[in-house]
Amino acid sequence: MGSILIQSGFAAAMISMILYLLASTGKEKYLKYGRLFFHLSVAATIASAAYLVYLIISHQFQYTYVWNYSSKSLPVNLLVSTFYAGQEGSFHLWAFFMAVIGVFLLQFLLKRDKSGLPNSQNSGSGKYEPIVMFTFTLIQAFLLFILVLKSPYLYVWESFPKDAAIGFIPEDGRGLNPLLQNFWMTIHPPILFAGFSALAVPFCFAIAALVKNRYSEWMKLALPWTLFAGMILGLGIMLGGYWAYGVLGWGGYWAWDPVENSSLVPWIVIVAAIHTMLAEEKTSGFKKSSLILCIMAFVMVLYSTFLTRSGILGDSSVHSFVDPGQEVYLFLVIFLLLFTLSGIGLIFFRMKSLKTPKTESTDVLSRESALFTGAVVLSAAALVIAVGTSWPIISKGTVDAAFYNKMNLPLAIFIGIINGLSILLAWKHSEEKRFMKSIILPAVLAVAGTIILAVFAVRDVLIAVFVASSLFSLFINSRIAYKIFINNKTKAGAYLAHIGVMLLFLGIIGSSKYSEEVNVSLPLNQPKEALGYTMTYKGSTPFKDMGEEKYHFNVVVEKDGKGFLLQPVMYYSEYSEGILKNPDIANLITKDVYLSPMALEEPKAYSQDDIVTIHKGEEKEVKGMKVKFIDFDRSKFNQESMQEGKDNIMGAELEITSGYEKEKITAEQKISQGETENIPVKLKSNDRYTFYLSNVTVSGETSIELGIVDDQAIKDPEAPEMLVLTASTKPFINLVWGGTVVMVLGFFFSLYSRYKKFDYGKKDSSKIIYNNSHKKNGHHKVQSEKQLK
Amino acid sequence: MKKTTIFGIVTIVVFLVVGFFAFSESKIEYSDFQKASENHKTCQVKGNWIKDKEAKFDATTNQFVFYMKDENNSEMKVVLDGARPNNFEMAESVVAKGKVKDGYFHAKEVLTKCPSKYEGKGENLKQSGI
Repeated sequence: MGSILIQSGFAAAMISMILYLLASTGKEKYLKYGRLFFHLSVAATIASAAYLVYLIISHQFQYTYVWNYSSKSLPVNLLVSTFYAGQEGSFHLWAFFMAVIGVFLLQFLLKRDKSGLPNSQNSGSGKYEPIVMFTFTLIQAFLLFILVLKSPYLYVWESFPKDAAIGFIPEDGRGLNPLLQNFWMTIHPPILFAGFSALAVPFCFAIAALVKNRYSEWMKLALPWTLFAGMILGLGIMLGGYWAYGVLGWGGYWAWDPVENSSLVPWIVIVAAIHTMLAEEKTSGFKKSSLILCIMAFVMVLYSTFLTRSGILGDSSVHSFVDPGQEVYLFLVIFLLLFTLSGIGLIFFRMKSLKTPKTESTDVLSRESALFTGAVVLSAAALVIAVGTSWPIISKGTVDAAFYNKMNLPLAIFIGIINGLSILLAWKHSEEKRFMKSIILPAVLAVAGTIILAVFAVRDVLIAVFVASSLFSLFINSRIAYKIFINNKTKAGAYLAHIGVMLLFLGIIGSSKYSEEVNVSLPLNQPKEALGYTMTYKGSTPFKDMGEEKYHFNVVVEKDGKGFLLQPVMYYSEYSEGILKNPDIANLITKDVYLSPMALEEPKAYSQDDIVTIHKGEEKEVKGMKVKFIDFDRSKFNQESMQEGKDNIMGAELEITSGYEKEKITAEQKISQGETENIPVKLKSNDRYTFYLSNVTVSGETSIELGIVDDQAIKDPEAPEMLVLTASTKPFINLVWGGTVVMVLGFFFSLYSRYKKFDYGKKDSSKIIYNNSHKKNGHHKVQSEKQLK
Repeated sequence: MKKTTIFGIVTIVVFLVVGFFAFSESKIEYSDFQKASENHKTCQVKGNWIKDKEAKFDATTNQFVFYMKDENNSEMKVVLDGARPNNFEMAESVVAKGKVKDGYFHAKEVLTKCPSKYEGKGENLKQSGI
């Protein structure tokens, strides 16, 4: 049934697309049917998503996808998140969000087209719906086609015809990767995909504008969607960072990993687009830039999908998705090329009509030039990251994370400065004297702030400049945001978003540049000094979580008489066949103390002094005994299973002469998964000594190392177990999270006031208000919220 | 306007030049142990860890030591700054990033590749049968 839903969804999308194409040539009668089939496609997509969720929740393991990613032991919220644990499901999630957003988009278009936009002719060609919806359904058709190619509804016997008979139902699924079993991981992908889907909308409007060769309204229509996409995607990216920081124990929130980068690049591009669109709105210039940026943002989404889903970056990402197969690979290439070429092609085609009429030359000291420069800097940052991420395709190799830091630092400095300046500048033309005067106070404050910080910590010149530029922009934005906020909260959106970004910048500087990190080994109950704290390992406590036995490793961290308990986690995961580790974090006001567990070292049965090396056939006198190494015992040894990493036992035949007794024993070493365990063995005649086979040399000289322990010897007080940790401090990391929240709120307020303004503009149609000051507010207060919903 | 154009071009040129140098500095190429021990450059080597040799964490230096075979089947000891990488046991292949020092490969980072982590194989199916 699932496959039928997907296929019919795809078919309906195709039909709707064709009908919209016909409608766009002026045949209005097809519009009705286009909408009908679009809604059918939406219904099929949503039904299929619901069906897949149902299959997962009811444990229908005969479906390969369900078997592959879920299991009976998962709680409901994690079960639902297995929906997008694999490639098929994450494409489905994307298609699902496209469907949902599509419904709203169509509503939006119907309303606008009916009421007519300011200055638009009300003929068929004046409508945006046909071309926008044509492009949108085309994208949706592509996504659904990927699901037709790589269906989440395959039965296990279809996927593995050799291993499973028809009708076979596995008893339980393989389960979800434990790294993904986390709250942040359950909400991060949906938000990201909602953002990706929303980015399709500005793209569709840009295409529509180019096709119609009319550029006066598209930007007003697209801007709210662009803001929405920027907000959602920005939030999604930082949630991913929070997951990496708090769960994966990367020690940071950002690692310039290809998957992170490829969602960051479209976000930077869309933020740049928002700025040129604002400039376009006020000056009716910058058409080309806005169009190109809106198109590129979506192209970058497709490109990042290609990078992360085609397996092409397999060797350089922790997210290492597997090769999806030849046909999907080819299809992704076509998907990417089609939209890239048609978007860029259209711009070239319309080059002539896109020229801004040069009535007056743009003043350098104007807000629009500053906005444009800002967009250029943002694009440069996007380009740097995109090139770095794509490097493994261009040549065999990758780029060090240091590259991104080095290149983006000067760009980020620029962004701070330009942002601060642009807000002080007026549209069109600023009076030089007044402008210069307005710079002084924030500049002085920024420099003063930086000097204070320099006294404490900041030594690096570039970093100091970065701090200064962030503070500069922060002061300017705060002042204006405060003034506006008093009058009309929602109007402060843009400034609030900038404040958020600058706080984020400061947080990034603090938490990365001034992070201190040390590796410490903590013997049980012995306090040790690290990073100015006294850390004591107090032993471990087991607990049950997600059906697995996990261990809290209790570390008491103290400073100045105040202490707190941190409990990093380590456990053996059946699923990963390995030890998994989760960090624990103490969130103090000015910094985080971050403990990332590395290993637990258990005491060894013998010490270095107990070890002797004996060659084959040699006899040595040890602790009053004669010990002879006769030969290896390979009876429990198998080369093949060794290679596969399975358990294996290597033995050494020994002849021991103790007093008058001569005895043969076999000391054994168990090797499993690269870990060696030395099995103790004693003499029958004399239980005073214990023998351990501690090391084996097979190549070249054949020899063994034996650990021989005298149980009666005076021992050290038993060597305690030892917890090995990486401890670090992350100064001002709260600014990173706080800044993100403020930024997202800023986006939200801008979006909200955009919608209000939209309705206002509709009623009071052609009036364009040029405002020489940014301090406009309270203009559009009296608007009902109902119209929004 | 002309001044700004010149300024723009200069900025772009400076940016490209800086970018080029930063880039060539941080480029890490794929290599093998032989090449890596000849040029001592930071590179990455793909291969398999040798399961019948030791792979252990040394708490005194906080390093993880294992032996690795590259794609030309040459062997080398790899010392990683840090703990055993996640999913190391089930890794089908590993990629070590670092450089050769004193006869061993000093890795800053080791990536593990485990296809089975994401996709089940037919064999797994049999085990979970009724």
